[in-house]
Amino acid sequence: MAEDITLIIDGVKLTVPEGTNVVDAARTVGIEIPVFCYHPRLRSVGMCRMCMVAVGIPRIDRDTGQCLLENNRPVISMFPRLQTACTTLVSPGMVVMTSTDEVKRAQRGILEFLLTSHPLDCPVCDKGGECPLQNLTMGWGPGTSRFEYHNKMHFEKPVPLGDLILLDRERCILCGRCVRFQDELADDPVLGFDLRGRDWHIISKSDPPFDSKFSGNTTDICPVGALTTTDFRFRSRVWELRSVPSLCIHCPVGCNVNLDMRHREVMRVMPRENLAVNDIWICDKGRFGQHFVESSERLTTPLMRRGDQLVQVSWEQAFETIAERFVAIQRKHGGTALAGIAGERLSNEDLYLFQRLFREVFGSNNLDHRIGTPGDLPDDDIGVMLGVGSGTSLVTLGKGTTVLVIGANPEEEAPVYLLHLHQMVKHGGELVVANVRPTKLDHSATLSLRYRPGTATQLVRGLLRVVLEEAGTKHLSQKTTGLAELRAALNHPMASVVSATGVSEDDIRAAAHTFLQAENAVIIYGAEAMAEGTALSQDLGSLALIAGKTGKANNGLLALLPWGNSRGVLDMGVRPDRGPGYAPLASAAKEREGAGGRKAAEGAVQRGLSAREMWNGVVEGRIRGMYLMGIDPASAYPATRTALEKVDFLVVQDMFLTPTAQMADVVLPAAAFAEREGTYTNAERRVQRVRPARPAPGDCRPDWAMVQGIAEAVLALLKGTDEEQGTAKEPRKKLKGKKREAPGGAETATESPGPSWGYLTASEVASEIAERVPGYQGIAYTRLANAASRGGWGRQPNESFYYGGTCYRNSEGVGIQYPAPAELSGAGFSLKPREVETTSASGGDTRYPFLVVTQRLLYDGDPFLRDSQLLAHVPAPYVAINPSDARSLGVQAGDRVRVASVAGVLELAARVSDEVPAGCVLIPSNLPGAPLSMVQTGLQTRVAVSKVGGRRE
Amino acid sequence: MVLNDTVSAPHLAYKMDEFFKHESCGKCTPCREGTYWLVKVLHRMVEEGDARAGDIETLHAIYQQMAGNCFCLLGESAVMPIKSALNLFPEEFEALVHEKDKRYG
Repeated sequence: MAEDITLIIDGVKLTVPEGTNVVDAARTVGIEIPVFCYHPRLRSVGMCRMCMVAVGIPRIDRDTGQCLLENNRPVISMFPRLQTACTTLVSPGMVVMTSTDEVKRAQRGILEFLLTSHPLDCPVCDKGGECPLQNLTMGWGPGTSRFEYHNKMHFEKPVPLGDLILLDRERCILCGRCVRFQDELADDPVLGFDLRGRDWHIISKSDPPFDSKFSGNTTDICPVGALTTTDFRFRSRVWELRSVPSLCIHCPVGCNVNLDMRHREVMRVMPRENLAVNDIWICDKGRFGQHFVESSERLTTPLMRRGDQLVQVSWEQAFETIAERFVAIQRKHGGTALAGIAGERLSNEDLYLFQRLFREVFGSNNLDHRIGTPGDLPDDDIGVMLGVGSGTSLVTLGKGTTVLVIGANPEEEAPVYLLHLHQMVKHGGELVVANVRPTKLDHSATLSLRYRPGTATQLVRGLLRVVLEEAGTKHLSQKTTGLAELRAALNHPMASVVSATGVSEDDIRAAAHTFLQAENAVIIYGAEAMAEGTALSQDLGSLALIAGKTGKANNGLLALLPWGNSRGVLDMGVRPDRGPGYAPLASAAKEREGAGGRKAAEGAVQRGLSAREMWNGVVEGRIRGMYLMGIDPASAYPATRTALEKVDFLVVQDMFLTPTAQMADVVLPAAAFAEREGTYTNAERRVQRVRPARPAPGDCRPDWAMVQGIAEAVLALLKGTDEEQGTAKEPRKKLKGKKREAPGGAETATESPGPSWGYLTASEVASEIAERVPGYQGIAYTRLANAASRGGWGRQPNESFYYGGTCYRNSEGVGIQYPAPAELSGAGFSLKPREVETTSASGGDTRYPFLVVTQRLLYDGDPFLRDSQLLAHVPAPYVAINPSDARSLGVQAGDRVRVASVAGVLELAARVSDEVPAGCVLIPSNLPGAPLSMVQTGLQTRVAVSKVGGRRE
Repeated sequence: MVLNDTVSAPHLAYKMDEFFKHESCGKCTPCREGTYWLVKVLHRMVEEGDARAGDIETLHAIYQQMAGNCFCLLGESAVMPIKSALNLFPEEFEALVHEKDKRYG
């Protein structure tokens, strides 16, 4: 641990940890030292010379080694020159003076120098109003300049650094923050300096220029208006903006953002500080990829099919039709003839009500959140069970921490985690990266393991062996079972692990050691790991448990699921086999009965159909009605079109008239995340809130309200017909205008199935979730709001704000992370390994010699990227082939190749890359047009590859 | 460096600081901006014969703002020629200001 050091700044005695610099130390007692090049997240370089202060240290008696004293006070010898506070580390007894005449003169001089080459075009500068140079000039600078205006440097303005970021070289004060951010945090060293002296300027060194997924952050930390985004440049003055706290829903990190609004328009998206989630950064997808909200293609009214056309109808008509058709199907074929799929970027409230509708009203567990492709990943339960403990903050990790990243590419799957991992390594943490292919993370990894495709489970079992040998099992809880089975599964020589995985025994032992010895350890696994089946995640769980790295902060598993609320989807039980809170179906049904629901129908306790089974079910006539909420299978898995055409009645609820919606019988227009209330759960189980920033276009409603509209219409219809049959006790009218009761209230089973509907706000749904979903106890909006506004945990250090970046301070709450079951006493865990389902690259079917490896891309075929400049970064569909394979196939980069599997044939442009292992081809899973789904046969697909024609295109 | 009394001190300072301006890497503000500014003023005084009343004061201010504040010794060295010239041969600078058309060289 760092020792505490006491020093005196401007006569104030303070104590700070060793290693603190004088700028940060002064800030702890409210003394401001102006800075430009210094940034708390970056290395100090002392370039701008703005933070000059007078520094002295106690004079030491050479004979005794003691401080010299005079009148009982230490004699201070001042340094002959002023020192830059950002590069001066505190030392015991140091005396710092920040406002002597000499210091003031130096600081005023530096500001005058900076302004000599600054164009002072503040009236047309986007930074004007939130500009550190403006602010520091007001605070420390001279009122007038002696420099002759016509002598200023003039450059062409602006020049593009990349297609998203523009550089105005006149305004640049050459602090180098952007260069250091790219080098140190993003580890994309794409920026640099060119020429020297007054001609010194920033350039992009990469091709394509500014090739980084974090480029937008440089505009935030730029202390002047030199770097601007093409997205926001000249769009608004910053003081006209109204900031609405929100979230980015693109990936499982759940970055906190502010939507900067002018009237109804989202002018820009800015990071909002949250030390537990995104620190002060967001990726470019989060910053530039939110334009879908304002797309002119948004749906605005409910649509209903009349013949070949979809025509506008009223909400009443839409809900009544849906209710009539669903009830008719339910009567004729049973509730299990209805099925629903909900997207993973919807809020918990939407998802909770969606599963309530199916389970309680229709009596069906045919629920899923996946598309139903053969490559659908199995649901990740262990990631919750043994998830990272509450209080985990990847941002603060450093020495003593080991992070094992396996089968994941955080840059594409959860970009901001990449920054955190780089930071962690910089602070002395250990990073073990195990992947099939090289990824960006290898560069900063302390140990990189390259295993053969399909052998991750064997690799982890190798690690388990070492950990089991060294850690023993005495510390395991009584409730841990399956140890014997695990030992049996590990009972083969290490040499076989080495020969199967291709990873040396030394590396396996070293990785296991680092993991075991660490004070804190986190395992991050992504899509490629999950594609190896549940055997791998089971073993990762066992690894964490046996090594004792679960159930506490900064320890446990972290699954990189695909979307912004992928965790919430599982938590809410939108899946065929588990209810809300991962409860088994029977106990979930019992819980509903206990809460006043009617006796569960048979369909409600039987496992429902998964998305894959649903599509087959439609073709076989078992599924007659479908409700798709916020998901577009026709685009993501074109093979579903047959089923979508065949299904008797299809309701699609979306923001856009997607290809799926075009096939629907009724289309309901949904409000975007920026137009509504809701909570989202991120990869670390942190529940966070979005707020309405703009009115929804036309008649759009939040998804939960539409689910409720359908539920109420169905219930009214059921009630009405029951009444006709003389079974109902209450008149139908009462249900329609029914007094809303407390969620989970005391309505009796005869009156209504389950707790009442009739929620007026999303927060009422959230309160019910807090009451009924295990894990979510106490997570209600009131608590979120209260805790934030009262200070407490809602307070953030706001260092970035202080230092003049434009990341927003977080006054709106940082979310609540609910505890993982492993943290609670009494949780048991089975170590019993599961059967490995994967095949390895070698061997197998000679007709299909290549194994498909896949990855998720950040800039993908995602319809949410519409109207975004990022579309230019979305690659055309491609297949990447190893150079040696390409040679033997006679394929060159750019050639068209045919990829064939048992399931289908596909033609794609070839890329040749040595990052793809020999014997494998790489096809990203989420490219536009979803090519991969056409050949996929399962989690692992084998294909044949041949060149199309002899000509190169 | 040995020079005889025919060499103009302002011209010498101008030439030497032009060297430092050319060599300045640009990393720290006082050296980058200070040498640039010094040379701008000296060039106008020495080469263009357009010295003005406030120029001497400005030159004093510029080197004082540089002295002790630079990152490395290059910037500090750039202070020496102009500081010595201004302090040891003030009359030559005064002359530039008062006899605008007088060219040295």
